[in-house]
Amino acid sequence: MSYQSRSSRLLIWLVLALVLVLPLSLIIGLVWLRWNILQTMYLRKAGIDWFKTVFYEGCTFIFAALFACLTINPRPQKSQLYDISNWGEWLQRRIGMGPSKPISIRLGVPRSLWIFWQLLKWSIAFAFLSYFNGLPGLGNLTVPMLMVLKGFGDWKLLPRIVTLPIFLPSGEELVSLIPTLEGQYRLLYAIALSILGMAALRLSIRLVGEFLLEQGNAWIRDIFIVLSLIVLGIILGSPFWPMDATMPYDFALTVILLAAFTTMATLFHFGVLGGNLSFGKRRRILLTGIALMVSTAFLCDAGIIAWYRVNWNNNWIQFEWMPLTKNKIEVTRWASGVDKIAEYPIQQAPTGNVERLLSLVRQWDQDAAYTKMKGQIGVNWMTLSDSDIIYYNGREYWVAPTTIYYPSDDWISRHLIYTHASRIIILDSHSGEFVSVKECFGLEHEPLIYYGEGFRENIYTGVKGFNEIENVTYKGEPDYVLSGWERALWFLSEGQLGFAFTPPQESIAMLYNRDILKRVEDILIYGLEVDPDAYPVSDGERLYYLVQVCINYPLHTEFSGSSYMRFFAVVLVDMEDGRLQGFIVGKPDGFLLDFYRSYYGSWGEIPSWLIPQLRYPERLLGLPDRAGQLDVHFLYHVDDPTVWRSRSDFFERPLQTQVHYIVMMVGKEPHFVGIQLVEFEQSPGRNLAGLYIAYGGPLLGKIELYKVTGSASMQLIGPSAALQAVETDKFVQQQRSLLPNNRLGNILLYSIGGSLYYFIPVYILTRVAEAVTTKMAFIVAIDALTGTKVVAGNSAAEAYALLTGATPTTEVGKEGRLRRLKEAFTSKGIKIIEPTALRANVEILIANLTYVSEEQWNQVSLAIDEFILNYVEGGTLKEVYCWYSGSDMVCFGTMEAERGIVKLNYLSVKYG
Amino acid sequence: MSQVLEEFELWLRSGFEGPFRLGHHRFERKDGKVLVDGGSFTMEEVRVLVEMLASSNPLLRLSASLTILERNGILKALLIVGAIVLLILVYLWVKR
Repeated sequence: MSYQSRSSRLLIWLVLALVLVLPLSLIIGLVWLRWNILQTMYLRKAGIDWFKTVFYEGCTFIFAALFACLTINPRPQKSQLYDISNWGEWLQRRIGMGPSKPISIRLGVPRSLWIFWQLLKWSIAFAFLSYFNGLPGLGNLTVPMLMVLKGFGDWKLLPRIVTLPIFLPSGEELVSLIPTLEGQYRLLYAIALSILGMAALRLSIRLVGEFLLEQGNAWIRDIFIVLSLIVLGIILGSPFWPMDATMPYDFALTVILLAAFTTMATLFHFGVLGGNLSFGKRRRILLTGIALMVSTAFLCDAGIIAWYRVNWNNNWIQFEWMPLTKNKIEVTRWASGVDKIAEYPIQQAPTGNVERLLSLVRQWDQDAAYTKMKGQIGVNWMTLSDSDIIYYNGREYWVAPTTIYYPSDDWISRHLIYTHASRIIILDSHSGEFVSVKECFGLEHEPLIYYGEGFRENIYTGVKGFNEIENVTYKGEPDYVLSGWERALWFLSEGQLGFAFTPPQESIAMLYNRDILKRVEDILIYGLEVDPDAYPVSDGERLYYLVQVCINYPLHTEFSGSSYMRFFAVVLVDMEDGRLQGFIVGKPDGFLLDFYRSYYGSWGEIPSWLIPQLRYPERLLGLPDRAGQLDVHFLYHVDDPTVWRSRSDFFERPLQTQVHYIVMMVGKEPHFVGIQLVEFEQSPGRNLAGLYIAYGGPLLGKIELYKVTGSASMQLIGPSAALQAVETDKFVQQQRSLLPNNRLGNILLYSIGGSLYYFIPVYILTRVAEAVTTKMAFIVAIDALTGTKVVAGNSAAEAYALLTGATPTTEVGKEGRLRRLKEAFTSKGIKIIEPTALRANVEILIANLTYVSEEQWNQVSLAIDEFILNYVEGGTLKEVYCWYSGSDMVCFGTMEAERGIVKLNYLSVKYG
Repeated sequence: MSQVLEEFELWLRSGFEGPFRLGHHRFERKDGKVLVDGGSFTMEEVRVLVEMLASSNPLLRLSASLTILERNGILKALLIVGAIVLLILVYLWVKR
């Protein structure tokens, strides 16, 4: 060999190494680095071992390693794919191109090649199974595996599960069997199906070879073995089938088929069939006997099924309703979590103090609030992420935290300059007035939002030579610090060679995975999903995004018309530093909720400050484009077979409505609830069928259905009809014709004074300079009972008063309210002093009150009386100090000295 | 011996090249064997077969027909196709 050819070979090897090894190393390095970042970040900021969490405590790899073994050929040095090469020779011989001598039989694959091939197959299968955590068509299998390992389900119930198709279960029994059915049985079923599938595949390849190589009847035998394996697979899946009266016979049909196929395989194997024929009588009798037995069994079974089917409709209750539909209703209600929805007549819909209720009507809908809030941003690099409805301190607000809107799209702007957003716009959902963060949440300053909705870019903070927008510096703990080769590799992948090899500093702090939904999703396992509608909450010191986590786990029994749905937990993401805190919401259920609870063991119970701010997830209740718990209840609330069959009491969500969160008075207490109006399915009259109320706050999880009863005197118009009434009302039509760019808002139903009224606001879009803003022109109230009384007013209270003839409540105005507050003191002979300055060693806030509407006066008045009793009348001086905090807040306080310490006891009242 | 059997025996012994027909079955001579509807039989077997086909017992006639179907491969094809069709039908039924 010449020197030249040797060196060119070396060069080829070098090039190959560069082309293959280098990119592969870079990819592996990057994957490792990303995993390390996630592991470090979640451990630091959520107290969660990310690797252990997302890889199912290592079950992913155990499962993948075990199942991948199925790809290994159990016969050493044999390969069916290798054998396929014989087929080519056969074809050549058949078409006369090859030698006509018999085909040589290959003994096996070389040992090293065989080992390499098996390893390669195993590795590919391992990677595939690790990625999917399951098998195609069988779904995720690591969760059942973990459930079994953690002691969920009961092995002792397996015999009962196997006999389900023969001895039909009750709904209650099915519910009790589902944990074992989804755990132990599904795992065994998957293992059995994988083995059967692999055997069938190998046999199928073999039988093609046997057919082509003309190896007698072996290929026919193998066909029947493959068919037997398929039938066996079907039989093993029978506990998941829906079961009506014919189920035992359907099951018998498959067993007979299995017996027939295995018999055929046996007959072909032993040459009883397909061999060189003799005309022996015994053989004929044997074959005829078998054929007769199988055919008789098959025909008898089919005959029984046919008898049932012929008599189906006249025995529908015994044959279908009792064994199938009734059980399905029970299982579906349990699975979807709607079994505890209480039903009441609509006349009992919650109501409360009329004035208070009218002051809480949500006059501003999401779109209107969003449009109005858009004008408040004031800079070109921020935009509103979303407007979320929240309930805080007895009031409902639309809150829109901002997100970054990049005016400049280069890498430096996206990663080093535009690092955060800094505005949160808040609007009172009743009055439409803007409220500051301080007034709403009591926070001293608006937080810098480094973690929010739509924050898709990772950013680098504290980098020399670069200033963040607004000249601020991130003060929290970074998610990860890149240095050394990690920094080089990371920035190389970002295409920033300068930062990779000649960085401004050795260590660069990074904020990673800043989109709050993705940040939470990345620690969730199969069966958990987030509600995309995250909303801000506060503990009075910091502001968090609350991400709701729900269980949506597909059940495999066809007795369930729904996946398993529960509200599982909430995760708070600190807007400023991205810390995560998980809190479990769901109650123990002995099944998936307990499983997930044990899996996320570090998540605690809900803190008391958070409870009033909680609401039931919209995604779980259901959206027009995504069915939820309510959609299940629309059908499965029915208990009566005739009603079920006739579909006369099925509901549907009207196109014009979805779940709206409002404040509802229940007796004296305001409650933050989600409401959903429903109409009867395909009803031409578009009548109201019911009203669902999903409570938030302390009653979280309680869902009620207020149903319209059959009485003709209580027929109420539905939301579609209410909308029609507004659109066709002459007065409203006239008014709207005078208002360009008007639109109708949300359709909300309130129970006021024992009657139901729809409120539909009308908004106008106005253009000021280049900006678009919106105003509420008027609000329409409609009597839900008749639908004929349609009245418009400037506010919900006025519209209601005009509709019912009641005297409208006089709002005293901001100045009037301040005067009234002062009078509460002066009327008791207490002097009010407005000092220029107050200095105390200790300041004690006794009460933080809100007085923005008249119905709040009683509560405020009581608190003032209590304050006077405790802090004014006990003192020597009958005087209080009065000072203002901002334009809408007034404080009243008294000072007392105790052992040289001056204490200021005061209460603050928001009056505007 | 019935007339059919005599005719068949005559055809078997003679050197006549043309096929012999019995009912809808076709008998042909090839390489010292007899092909019945494409299925190969020895001289011994074919005599028994003709006896069975000419019998007044319907079960014997059915048995003979099945034997022919088995020899010419049609029975195998029917069995396989029938089994697959049956499997599909049962699967569709139980998963309805």
